[in-house]
Amino acid sequence: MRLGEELLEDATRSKVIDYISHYEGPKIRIMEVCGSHTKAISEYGLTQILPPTMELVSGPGCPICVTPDAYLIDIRSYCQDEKNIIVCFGDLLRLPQMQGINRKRVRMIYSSLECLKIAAAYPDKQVIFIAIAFETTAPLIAWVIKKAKALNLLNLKVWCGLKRMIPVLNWISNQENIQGYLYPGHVAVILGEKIFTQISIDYGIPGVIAGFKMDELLVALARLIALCVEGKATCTNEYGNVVSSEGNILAQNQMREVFETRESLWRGIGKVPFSGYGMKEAYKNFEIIPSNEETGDSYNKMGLCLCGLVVRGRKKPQECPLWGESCTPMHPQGACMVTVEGACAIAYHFKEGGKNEESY
Amino acid sequence: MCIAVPGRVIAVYQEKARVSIWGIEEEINIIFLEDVKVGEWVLIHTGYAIGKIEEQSAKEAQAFLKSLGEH
Repeated sequence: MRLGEELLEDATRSKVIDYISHYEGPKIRIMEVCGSHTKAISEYGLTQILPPTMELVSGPGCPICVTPDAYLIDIRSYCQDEKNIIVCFGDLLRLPQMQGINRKRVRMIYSSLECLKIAAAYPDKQVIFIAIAFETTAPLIAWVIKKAKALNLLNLKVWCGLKRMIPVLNWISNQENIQGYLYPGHVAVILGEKIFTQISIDYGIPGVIAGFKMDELLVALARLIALCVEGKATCTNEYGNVVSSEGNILAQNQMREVFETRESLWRGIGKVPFSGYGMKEAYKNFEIIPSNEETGDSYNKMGLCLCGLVVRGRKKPQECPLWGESCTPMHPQGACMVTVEGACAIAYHFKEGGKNEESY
Repeated sequence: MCIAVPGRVIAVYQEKARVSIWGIEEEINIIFLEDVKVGEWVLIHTGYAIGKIEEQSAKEAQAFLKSLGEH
């Protein structure tokens, strides 16, 4: 198998597609945890081959989507202070809650490494990095904090909205009706296969660690059906050329050196113990702790936005009264429509079987 | 967002490497990988390599795929 080439021969791919599309039941609800999987599945048109007995639902794997309004209001308050330079990934700025902030104080970045240069460039400002991400991104953020300490860049602060995948999957497994998981491939590169297998064993829910190419996803979906049919509460690793049993130990060690776990607030879910990262004592100088007030506003002011239920697999985007009407990628009402990996944006982009030109 | 892209290593420095991502060369951070060599493929996310892309050992998957024809 070589990079850039198709992984399956045509005949094999046809057999896999047949196997998936002819699955006759019992009905299974599969959670595609990661927004990147939701996007890839839609891009490849794989929803069109699913049998009526198989339903794919979105999960909480999009960090912007699961950051609740209480935290966004807190972030906005820092944006309004002229003493601050705000550093963030791009999606944050498209959220309705961020409209009207002074963009001159904001620096959009691709890599957290850029925080160091920005903090050095503005020694008289408090440079606040809005860290909203999962474990794929967190190791580098930990390294940046450690580097900032070594360089004595005390004006760099990290608004620490980092979230952890395993505790929220444990929560979902307890609360929602899910028969299988498409586990997040790149989080698994960091955390390893074993920790996801443990979720499957603990909750009796089969899972597959999947890659992002079309053939990888086809094989993953077929494997998942097979595990469900066989009643095997385990996990198979279909991304084995990058995901190892134990994961990236150096990255895990870096996170352990800088971060400690703490409770975090999730849109649509509420408070989940140990589901966020904060900083250990040695790095507390660099931390801004998100405001912890649960205002009960997991939904927007109109009370109609269903992002909170979409991210836990309870509702599809199309079931939201705002979706496609007052809520579109050009005029998003909620987080799931803002980011390219939000379930609502993806559903809009691929609605009616084709790409929608109005969307991003 | 957890998008990661494959890149081929064309030069190795200490904490960094120069990689070719679909023909475009970039410098990335390789602090979480050991013994990175020129010619290897790595998976890159937000400016750093999260893992190496190995030759896939696909025997188990191949056995599953073979079995599909028997259903």
